[in-house]
Amino acid sequence: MKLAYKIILTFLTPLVLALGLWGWLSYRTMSEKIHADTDLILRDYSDDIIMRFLSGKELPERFNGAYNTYYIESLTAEEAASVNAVEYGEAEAFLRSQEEFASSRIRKQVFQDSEGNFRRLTVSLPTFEQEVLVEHVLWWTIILFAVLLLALLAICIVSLNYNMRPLYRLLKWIDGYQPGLHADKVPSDTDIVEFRKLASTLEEAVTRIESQYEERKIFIGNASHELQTPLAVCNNRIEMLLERPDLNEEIATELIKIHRSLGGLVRLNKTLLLLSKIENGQFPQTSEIDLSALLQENIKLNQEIYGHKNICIDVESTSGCVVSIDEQMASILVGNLVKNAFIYTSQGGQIEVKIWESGFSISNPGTAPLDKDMVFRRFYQPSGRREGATGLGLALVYSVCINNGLDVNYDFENGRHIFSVILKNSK
Amino acid sequence: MNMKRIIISVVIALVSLSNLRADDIPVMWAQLPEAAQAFINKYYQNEKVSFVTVDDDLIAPDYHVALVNGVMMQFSHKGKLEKIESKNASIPEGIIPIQIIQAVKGFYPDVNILGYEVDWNSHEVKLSNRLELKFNNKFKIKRLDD
Repeated sequence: MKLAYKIILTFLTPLVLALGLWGWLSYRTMSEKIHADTDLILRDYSDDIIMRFLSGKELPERFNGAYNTYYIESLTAEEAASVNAVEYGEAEAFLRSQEEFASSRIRKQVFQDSEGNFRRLTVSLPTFEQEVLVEHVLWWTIILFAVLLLALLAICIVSLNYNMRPLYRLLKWIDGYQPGLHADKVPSDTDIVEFRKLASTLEEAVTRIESQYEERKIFIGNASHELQTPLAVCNNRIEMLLERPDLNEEIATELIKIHRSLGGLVRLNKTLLLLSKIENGQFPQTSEIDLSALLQENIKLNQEIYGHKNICIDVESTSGCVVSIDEQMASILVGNLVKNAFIYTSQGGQIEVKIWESGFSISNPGTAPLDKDMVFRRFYQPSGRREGATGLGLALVYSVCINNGLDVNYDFENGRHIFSVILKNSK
Repeated sequence: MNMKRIIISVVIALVSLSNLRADDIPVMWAQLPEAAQAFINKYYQNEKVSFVTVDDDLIAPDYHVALVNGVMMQFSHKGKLEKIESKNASIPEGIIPIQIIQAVKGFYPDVNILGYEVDWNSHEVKLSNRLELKFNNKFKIKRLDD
């Protein structure tokens, strides 16, 4: 969940509840007040008529053009005892002025006159005006609630976005950062203490990373140059020696052995430097590469080289496997895994390759499982040193994977070594 | 704990709000505060009571008494007179402060006083010429309505 959503949610939830409660209560209060006022009017009206009746004054006209009406009936003592002396209720009252019935509030009151006779006065007041008013109050409460809520939401979003700008700038900068690609300065144009601290800490960390990266790059460059040159010179000298006419066969054999060892040394040096470069992240140029095409290509190549072994290849591909990776890295990854499979498969064995959307696996027959923890270490060669091998192939594969967001795993199942490469952020 | 308290007060608020309607209910003469009974016996000993009601209010219910001669009175829950009104007969002497009666007679020698209302800081009289006069505690006229 994004921080902004979280803040808005925790801010607005209690507010919505409180506002809702407030709105509901004020609506209830208003509508109760309106109804109570109706009852008060009825009571005053009733009191007035009773007073006029008892004091023998002229009663108001029953249908005086106003909506309210009344009538007085006589009750026997038993009837008076059996009904409530004061009673409120709702009724359909006929409006002479409108020629129609309307829902009204009525009040009945039993009283005694000076002769001791019981009478009952019924007064009624049409309530459609009150109902309309209550409905208005309800609508206005709802509209007010909605407007208030929207305003609060808008204020919340705007102020959050406004105040969080330095943070988002910082995050955007981090997304775009790659060591070695001289990036812009860490954005710290804010006077918020927390964001300044974050920016300055990031600045420090980046400076350290950059200087380490630079140092290592220089070292690799130096080592490469300083080692390659004497090795090349040695090789040339041996070749010169081999061309001498006074060379005897015994010395020539020894010289050829030295030449071969030197070749191994050159390869080892190159591979180690490559490994260092990968680990230093010196291959940042990524492009979208389909590993399945690369796999097919490598398999074809190796089939030609190891044609004498009569190896059977079984490729099972459901879709292409596109990875964002440096081109050279991709060919190191695929090339080493495929070559390994061919080298360690005996005469007539079978290699199985499976490719799916988020990864691929290569398996070849084996006799015993390899050490899972050791298999990707440098110079790990369980079956003894093989002629011309550096023991760095899987270490290279491992480095490439680590630096490109891939997972590489080794499993031993049903007498087969299985190497699988899976994209980390997709399952 | 705090939450519980909030919920309880909200519930109480809701319950009390649902009783906002100022309905009135009939009561017996005997339920009238004693001071009110004494007041009626003193000034209207010959008149019978037509009805007595009380406001449906828990805190400070007002009592309404109508006599068969058409006089209507309102008492506080302690039995103190708050309002007395008549359609034709004037209010008996002794109920309205003498200063007010004198003031009214000074302005309008021929009118009757048909209603009298009193609260903690003012007095109001209704006259037979449809005027209403309002006095303060010191019996000075504050307002005149017609």
